[in-house]
Amino acid sequence: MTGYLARRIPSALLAVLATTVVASYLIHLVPGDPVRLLFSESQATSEAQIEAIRRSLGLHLPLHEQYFLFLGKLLQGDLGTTIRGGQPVLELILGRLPVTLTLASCSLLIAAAVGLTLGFFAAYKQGSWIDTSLMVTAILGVSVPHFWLGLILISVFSITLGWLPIASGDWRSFILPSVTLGLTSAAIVARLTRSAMIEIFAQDYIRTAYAKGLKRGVVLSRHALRAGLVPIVTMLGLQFGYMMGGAVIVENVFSLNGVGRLAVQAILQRDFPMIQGFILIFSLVIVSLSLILDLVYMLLDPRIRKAT
Amino acid sequence: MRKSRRRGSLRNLSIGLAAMLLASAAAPAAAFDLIWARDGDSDSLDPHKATSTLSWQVFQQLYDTLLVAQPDGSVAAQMAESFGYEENGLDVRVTVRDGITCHDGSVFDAEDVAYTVKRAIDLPSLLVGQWGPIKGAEVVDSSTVILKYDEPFPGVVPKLASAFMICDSAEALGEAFGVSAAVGTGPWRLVEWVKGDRLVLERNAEFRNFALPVENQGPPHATRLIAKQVPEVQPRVAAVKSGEAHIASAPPLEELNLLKADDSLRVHAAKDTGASMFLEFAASRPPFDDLRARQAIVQALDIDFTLDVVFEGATQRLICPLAPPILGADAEACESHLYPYDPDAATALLQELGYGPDNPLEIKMMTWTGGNRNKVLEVFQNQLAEIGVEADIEVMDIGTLNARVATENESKEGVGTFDLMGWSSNDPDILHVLWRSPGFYKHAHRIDGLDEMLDKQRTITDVEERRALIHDIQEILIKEVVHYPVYSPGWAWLYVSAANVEGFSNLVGNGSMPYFNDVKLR
Repeated sequence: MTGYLARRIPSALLAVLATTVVASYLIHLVPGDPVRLLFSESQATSEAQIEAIRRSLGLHLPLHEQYFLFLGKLLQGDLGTTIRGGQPVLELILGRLPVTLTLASCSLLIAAAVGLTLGFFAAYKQGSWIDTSLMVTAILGVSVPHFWLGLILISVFSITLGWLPIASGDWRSFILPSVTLGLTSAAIVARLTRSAMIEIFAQDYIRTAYAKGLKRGVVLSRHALRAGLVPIVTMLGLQFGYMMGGAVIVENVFSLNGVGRLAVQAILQRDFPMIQGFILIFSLVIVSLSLILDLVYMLLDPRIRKAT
Repeated sequence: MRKSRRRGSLRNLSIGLAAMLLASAAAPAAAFDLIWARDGDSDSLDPHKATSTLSWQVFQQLYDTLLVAQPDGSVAAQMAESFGYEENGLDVRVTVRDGITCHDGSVFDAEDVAYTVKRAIDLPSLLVGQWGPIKGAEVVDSSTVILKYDEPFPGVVPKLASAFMICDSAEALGEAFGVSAAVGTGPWRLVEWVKGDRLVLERNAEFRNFALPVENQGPPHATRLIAKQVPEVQPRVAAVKSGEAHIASAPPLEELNLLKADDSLRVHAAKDTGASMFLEFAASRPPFDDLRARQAIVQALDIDFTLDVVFEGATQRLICPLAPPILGADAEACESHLYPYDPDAATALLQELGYGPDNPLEIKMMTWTGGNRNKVLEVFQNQLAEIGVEADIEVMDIGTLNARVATENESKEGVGTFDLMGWSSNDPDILHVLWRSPGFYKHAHRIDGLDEMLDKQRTITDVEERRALIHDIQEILIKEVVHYPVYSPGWAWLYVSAANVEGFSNLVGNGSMPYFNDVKLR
């Protein structure tokens, strides 16, 4: 395992570096000058002063020079300061990352708990009305936009029933957004779990297990579920990344102060240091997740462990 | 005996009631936190590092100004005891009032004014251009400071009414100032700021109001002011309805009438914010390089009807390029220059240019997201279709629009474009920024004498003389359809509060900055 990690970590870091290079160039392709944007609604200033401010921020330099400056600071653990407000980028992102990670983790738990249960049950009852109705529900779940579901949940649980706050900032603030994000993913997980389990239920070793006289519960949990976990874990891993992205909308609807909102604001304001910092941290999270998933596969499947 | 005892009981009862009344009158008002749900956050707490309306709305709570704009556009002395030009007609002498204290307990004096000016005019301040040709600030004594100028700068008076004063103890805070600390003299002092989430302020018990357009002469009534970010509009209004917030910024325009009809809510609309929504044309190429094409477009637009349909009375028709209360924003001076709504005249102008049913004029209209601006353009689109103009609409974020307008203004090819743009200011010098060649958006209008007039207005310190010149400049901008006024305000001017909120009605001045000094809860 150590050897495997030693091989994977450098390539993961290379992927992160490549992402920052591409991102650094791509963000400059979006029209809009961050300095002019500072004066976009009031307090206008002259062309000469705009140029002076641009120079003071280092935005007059060629893109490759700006990137190497970014890289130089990065090696010292500094992601620079925002163009808007001159605040430390790393501090802002790290201050908000726990919110997004908590939201994505809670949503993943809901997605896994609901999706695995429903998918497994639908596969077990394959072809029955229960299977059909569960899958119709899953399709509806996939189709519902986060934005709409979030507003409906707020309307019911916060306004009508008054059970949960709209924007309190404490742990209760995570319930509705996690449900919103988790339910949509649960539908995807349920459909995949169903497909995987139907395939496994038809395998010879399942029939053999029953023939050996094992109880149904033992066959399902020890033989069927474990074998089906690898593709499901892959899907859950992908869903985590998807949830980090989906958090952007959900954070807005539920007023959660996560990195998603920060990133959207930075893009709208063309705050290049913040966008670069966000992409770096986001890609680090995704690459780390990918590594963790690889390790989980090894734990779940001895064949993978042996091959690596 | 019985009678006297009864009298005694009545007397005791009267005394008791009187005592209770006196006690209730003497008792301090109940402490309360005021929760303000906002659609966005300040970029910084440092007034020299941000220019957005959302930022300035926060600065107004933390910092105070030497002068203060009045609803009628005049200025009055707030922290300044007096102010006026020196004999040379260039420098400005400001005397600071005694007894004003900073949030950290230090005395606010002339040194703080000089510190603020120095900080404002040095990079990386974003207000480096706002003080005009200033050389610096010279402290005469603890209460007197002289702002030194090389040239006359009439903008200094409105500048002093919008320049938030920072106490010089901010220097010791280093980089924490504006991020996690702030030292001003405003009605609220900083407790905590979690950017993007919440700003917690507590009342400044030492605050004194000399000229703010609020009734309260002392500190605010609320114990704390908590600004909470609720970016989506529906949850923001829902927070007020559910009691989680008392006041919300930027309610949904589509539901304004429903909100007004809701007994549990009150809708507040700021007027005279200095914000101007206007049309500007890409004059670098046909058809809008020809005045007749620009004139045809504005004559085809029924602006009053459009505003009624889209805003239902929540905003006002703008008559001058400048919006009240800015100097020169006098409707009677501009009204006669506007082109009246006349689709027949518009059609005739287009025919002169060769456009008609067989050769329809195709154009593009642009604006930025939010504020029902897309709907304004949709109504315009229908009105233009009436005279045979095929107009496409493009709505984009403000950053893209800024870049796009500059690109369109420089481009010699492509269909004609115009945009619905918005700017706010507190001084007519905004016209210099926008239209003095090459202009903020690199416009292609070439009008004899306009640049000279724009330069000259910067040097006239006599208010009425400057007003007259500003009127002349606006006449050109309207008649040449360079900066064609549409409506005001156009952003950050609407609020909704719970019905039990009292005293939240004073929304005046540049950028629609709310005052919470008078707010009480019933």
